[in-house]
Amino acid sequence: MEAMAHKNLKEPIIITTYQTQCLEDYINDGGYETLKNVLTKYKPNEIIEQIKASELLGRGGAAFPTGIKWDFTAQIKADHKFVVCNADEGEPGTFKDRWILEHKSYSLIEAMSLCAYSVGGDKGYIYIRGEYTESINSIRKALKEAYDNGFLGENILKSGFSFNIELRRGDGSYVCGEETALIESIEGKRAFPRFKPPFPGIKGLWGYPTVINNVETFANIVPIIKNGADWFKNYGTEHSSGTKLYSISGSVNKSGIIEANLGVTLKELLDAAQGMKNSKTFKCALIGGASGGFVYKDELDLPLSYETLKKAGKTLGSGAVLFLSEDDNEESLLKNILTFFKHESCGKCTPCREGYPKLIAMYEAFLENKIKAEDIMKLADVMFKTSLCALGQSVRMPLETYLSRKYKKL
Amino acid sequence: MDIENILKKYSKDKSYLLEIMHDVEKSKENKNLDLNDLKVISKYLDINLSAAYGTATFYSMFSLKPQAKYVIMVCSSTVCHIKKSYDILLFLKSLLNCDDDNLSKDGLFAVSEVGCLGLCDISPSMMINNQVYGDLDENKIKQIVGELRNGSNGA
Ligand SMILES: Cc1cc2nc3c(=O)[nH]c(=O)nc-3n(C[C@H](O)[C@H](O)[C@H](O)COP(=O)(O)O)c2cc1C
Ligand code: SF4
Ligand code: FES
Repeated sequence: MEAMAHKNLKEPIIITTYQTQCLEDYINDGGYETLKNVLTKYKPNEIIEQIKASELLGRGGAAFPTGIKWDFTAQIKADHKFVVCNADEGEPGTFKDRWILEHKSYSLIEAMSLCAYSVGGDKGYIYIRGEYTESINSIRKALKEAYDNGFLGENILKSGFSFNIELRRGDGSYVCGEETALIESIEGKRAFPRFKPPFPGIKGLWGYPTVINNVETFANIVPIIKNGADWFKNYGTEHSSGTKLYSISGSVNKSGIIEANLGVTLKELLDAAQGMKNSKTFKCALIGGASGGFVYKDELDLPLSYETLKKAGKTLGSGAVLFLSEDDNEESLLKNILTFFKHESCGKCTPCREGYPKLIAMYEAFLENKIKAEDIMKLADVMFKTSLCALGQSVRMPLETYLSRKYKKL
Repeated sequence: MDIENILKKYSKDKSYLLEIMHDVEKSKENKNLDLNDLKVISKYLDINLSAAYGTATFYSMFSLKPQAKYVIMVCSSTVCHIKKSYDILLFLKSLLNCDDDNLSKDGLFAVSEVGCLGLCDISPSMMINNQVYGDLDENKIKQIVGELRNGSNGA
């Protein structure tokens, strides 16, 4: 897989060196130094304060502040607390977690241990989708080496702190990536999302407080603690600090992962992807995967940060960017998205289970000019307001961003 | 490895259910779980058979029916859709003489459409068993299928 740092980035945070597939290199590169330092010199709440100060936002799609999430769990007294890494990566068009799992496995483990130390966790799980064979192998190897060298297990580095991590393989279901569904899945059940609240941070795995973060979120932890929150905030924009791994795909010359400052423009990403394929013209991009929104030509200079996209009625989501040229058809892409959601709906709640088949029928009727765009949006709105999890809610975004553009008034 | 030996690798922790099912399925000649497997596993973990059955049928990667030797998963999500994955699917099905259940005439291949495989950078893409294939076109597919048929591909 092609992965590179954007040229505007002085020094990448995540896509640094490629040689970290061997523990010796990782250690020579300063690996596990941060954990050693923290375990001997810092109190748990000092680490949480550092993460809070960095203003790191969760990279799994919902952009929740990571430090605040950790603090919730840290505040609770409980016999057990869990730390879970969400590596179910299923949002269409997203493949950055796969790169991290295959190239930064040691850093992920170190980050989870730091998280466990800060919140008082004693057990961790890395939940990887079953199709990611190489990621699974790479994490397995890194876990084994961590245990063999005293970086995991009982009394880590003779500090008195103990923490264990186990790997779990997921199984071909998009909804599994939803945090509470993932927890159900680790418990050995069908992946039905739970009603929230309570949030996992308060009541998660087997009812115990559970921190669950995305792979990319964890990949930022060691660099932040090593270099400090202020260093981290040099990257990105005022309200979106740090960098993002953008998954670039579609009708461009060079697909792959680009790490860039949050706030990089679509135009800059397109240039980094060496422009549109076969010298076609850019028509639009779907940003944030199937649950993301369309961004058009006049928005090429829009900074891709959490706050700017939100303000424009869109979302950065997982950071997937699918470029479409004049020859590509958004109308059929939208139908593809509806079909995807219909197929992945877990069926637990009515608005989503019954809504998607109906939406598809309505969309077809709409394409034959039998109904109006507003009619579709009414149903999408109801689904947005009443569905149990974001799988039933998120289709409003692609529908709205496309229909409002094409049919102006909604 | 038979099921008893697989169980020996795991403690009686319910969170091992999916892991055990993965391993058992992989160990079977036709890569599927059967009711007897589920009985043994659920007894071992002390869970209801119906709960184990519910879990096994929820996840699309587990199969309760015997599976073809080569399970082909063609991605049909957003990026691959734009890259004409539907044409790839049709070509593959006609090349393999697939019936209505998407099973090839010789019974060797089963074709299915799946959600994003995280191979969007080499779209259109597919997986056959554990092997990934990208930048697909008709020639490449012919070559892959040919190699699988004459055994020179290890998927
Ligand atoms: C249908 C659905 C699928 C999701 N898939 C993923 C996923 O594959 N990976 C992920 O990290 N988060 C996914 N999420 C978001 C998680 O629920 C959760 O917000 C995230 O893991 C929290 O981690 P973060 O704060 O580090 O972003 C999904 C959410 C929904 C509703
Ligand atoms: S919104 Fe859809 S996926 Fe989410 S719980 Fe309801 S039916 Fe399941
Ligand atoms: S959309 Fe096909 S691999 Fe991601």
